[in-house]
Amino acid sequence: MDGIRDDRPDGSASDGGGAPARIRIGIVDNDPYAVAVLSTMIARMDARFECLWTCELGAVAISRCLNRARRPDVLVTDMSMNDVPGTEVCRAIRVKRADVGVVGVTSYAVDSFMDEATRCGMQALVGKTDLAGLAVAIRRAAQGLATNDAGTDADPASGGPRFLDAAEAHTLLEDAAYDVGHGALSPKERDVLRLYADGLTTREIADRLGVGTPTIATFERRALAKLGARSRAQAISICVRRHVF
Amino acid sequence: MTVEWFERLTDADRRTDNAWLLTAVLVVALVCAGETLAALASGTMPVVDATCVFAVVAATMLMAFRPVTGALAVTASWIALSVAAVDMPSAMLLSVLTAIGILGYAYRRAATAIAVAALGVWICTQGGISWISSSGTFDSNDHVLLGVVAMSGVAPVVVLFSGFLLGGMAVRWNHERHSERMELAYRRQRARAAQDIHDYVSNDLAYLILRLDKDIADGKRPGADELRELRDVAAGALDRTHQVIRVIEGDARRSPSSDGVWPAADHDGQASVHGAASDRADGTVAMPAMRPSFVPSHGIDADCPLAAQLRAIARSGDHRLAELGFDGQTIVTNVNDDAAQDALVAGLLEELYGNVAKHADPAGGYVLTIGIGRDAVQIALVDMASIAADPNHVSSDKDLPSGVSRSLGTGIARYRTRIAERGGTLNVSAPVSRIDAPTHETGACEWTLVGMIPLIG
Repeated sequence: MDGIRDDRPDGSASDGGGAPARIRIGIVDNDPYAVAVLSTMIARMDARFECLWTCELGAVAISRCLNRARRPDVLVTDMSMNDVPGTEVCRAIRVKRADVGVVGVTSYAVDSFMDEATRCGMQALVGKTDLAGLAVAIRRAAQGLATNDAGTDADPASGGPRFLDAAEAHTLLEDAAYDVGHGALSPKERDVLRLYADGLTTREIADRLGVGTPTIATFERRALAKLGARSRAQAISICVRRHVF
Repeated sequence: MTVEWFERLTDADRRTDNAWLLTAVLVVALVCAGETLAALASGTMPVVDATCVFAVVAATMLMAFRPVTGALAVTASWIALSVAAVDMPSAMLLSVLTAIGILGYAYRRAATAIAVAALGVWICTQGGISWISSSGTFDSNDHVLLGVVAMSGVAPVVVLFSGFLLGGMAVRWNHERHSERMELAYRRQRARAAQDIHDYVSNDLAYLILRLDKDIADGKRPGADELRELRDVAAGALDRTHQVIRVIEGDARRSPSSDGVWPAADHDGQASVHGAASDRADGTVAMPAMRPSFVPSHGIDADCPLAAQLRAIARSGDHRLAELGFDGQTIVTNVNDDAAQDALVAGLLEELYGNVAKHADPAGGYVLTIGIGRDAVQIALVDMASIAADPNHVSSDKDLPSGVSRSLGTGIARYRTRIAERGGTLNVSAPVSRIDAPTHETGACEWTLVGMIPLIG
C-alpha cells in the first residue's frame, strides 16, 4: 500500500500529512451538459478543487485513473452511464489502485444504488444536486476516506451497507480478484486463517494487516466458503491437513 | 387449524370466481330444479328424495358464489345421496361434473382423488353394475341424461369425469401462463418507465437545479434568454413525464426511448463552455436512439446468450493481450435478460482485440466496456496509441485532430459500414475533455472508439 502513493508526477495530493494543497478531480458523466455544469460548480466549491479533466465515457475515466500522468485525486462518476455503470468504473479502478478516491453522483434515488456502490469500493454516493454533500465527500475522498452520511436518510449506525476507505476497499477487491474461480485461498485469506490459528483475536489481526475488523470477517467468510468449512476451526483444520500454512 | 382451512378455502373461492362460471352453474342448478319438479309432479320421485335433491341444488347454487366450497358440498352430498340410493335427476350429473371441473382448477391432486372417489361410489351404487361372478365381467344399464342423451354403460360417465377434471386443470394452467406473461410484461413496462424517468426527467431536473445553483452562487439575476432556456428544460422534463405516464398506462407507442428525438431545451450558452458538443441549435436534441441505461435492474440473475457469448470472447481477448504485455481489462455489463447471440457484435469485439494488439501501446493498457442494454449494445474502447512506435497510424481521418487518432484500418471501417446498415454508429474520436492533447510523458495519446449497435428483434 505504501508504494502506491509515491508515483505521483508532482506529489500534489497529501499522503496522510493533513489536508492536500490542491485536489485534482476527474469527472465522468454521459450527459455533456451535466458534465459542464458539474465541473463549473465543483471548481467553485473550494479553492483547492481543480478540475483536471472531464469525459463522457466510463472507459475513458478508468483509463485515465489508471494512467500515471492523468490520475486525479478524486473521480466523480455518474452512476448510470451509457457504456458502463459507475459502480463498474469504480470497481475497475479500485481493484488496481487505492489512491484515487471515487465519489458517485446520481440524479436517481441514491438508495437504489447504495448496496452496489458500497461493494464496488466507492467512498461516497451523493445526489447530483446535493452540492454541499458532494464537496464534503470530495474532500474526504481525496484523503482516501469514506463518507457515510451524505445524501441518504440512512442512519450510519443502523448496520446497513457502509462505504469503506479507499485503502481498505482496495485490499478487499484486489484480494477478491486473486485466483478467481479456482477455489484457492488468496494470500490475505490464508494470512487471516493462519493468524487465527496462531491464537490472535480479530482485532489483533485487523491491526496487524492494517484493515478494519469487518474486512477480516469478509476474508474469513470467503475462506470458509472456498474451503467448504462450517466453522473457523474446521477451516483451520482443513488448511493444516492440506499444508496450506 | 379449522380457521386456517377456512381461510384457504375462502382464498381458493376468490381465485376461482368467474362470471362465466356463475352463469353456467346457475343454468345447471335451474335444470336440476326443473327436472326434479317435473319428476315430483309426475309422481315418479318421492318427496323425501326430492327434498334431498333440492339440498344438492342449493349446494350447486352456492358454487356460483363460493365455487370451491360449493363444489366440495356438491360432491360430498352427491356421494352421500348415491350411497343412500336416493332417486336423483339425471341433470345432477352435470352439477357434479361442474364441481369436479372447479376442483380440478383449484386443487389438482385433491380433485383427482375426489373425482375417483365420487366415480367409484356412483359406479357401485347408481351405475347399475352387477358383478357376474361366472363370467367375471361387468354389466351395466343405460343412462339417459335429461331424457335426450343416452349413455350406455359407465364408460361415457368415466370419460365425462376425466374430461371435466382435465378441463379444469387445463384452464388453470392456461390462466397461470397468461398471468405469468402479464406479470413479465408489467415488470418490463415498469423497468422501461423507471429507465425513462431516469434518463430524461431526472437528468433534466438535476441539470435545471445545477444551473439555478450556479446563478445563485454567482449572485446573478438570470436574463430573459436564460429564463426562457431554463423554462424549456423544465417544459422538456414535463413533456417526458407525460410520455412516461403514457408508457405506465400501457400506451407504449410513443415511448420516450423509442422516438429518439425529444422536444427540448437549448442547453447551450454557459453550459457549453467546456466544449460540450452543441447540437441543440435547432431546438431539438438528437439523443442516442437506443440507450442501454443502467438504472438498477432487478431480477436479471443469469446472463443472456449475448452476454455469455461476449464474455467468452472477452476472456480470451484479455488473455491474448495480457500475453502481449498489455495491462487492460474488458467490462461486460448486462441489463437485458433475453438478448440473443449476435455475430456482428461478436465479430467487432474480436476485431477490436486485434486492433489493440496491432496499434496500441502495451504500456498504456486499454479499457474496453460493453454495455448490453434493452435495445442496443454500447461499446467503448480506450487505449494509448503510440505515435512514436506506430507513425503509420497517425490520423488519416480528416475529421479528427491530427495526432489524436489512428487509422480506422480496413477491419474496423468494414464493421462501421455494417453497423451503419443496422442503424448504429461506430466512431473513433478524440475524447471531449479539457485535456485532450497527447500525454507527452508517455509518448502516447488517448485513442477512443465508441459504438452503438442496435439489437435485432
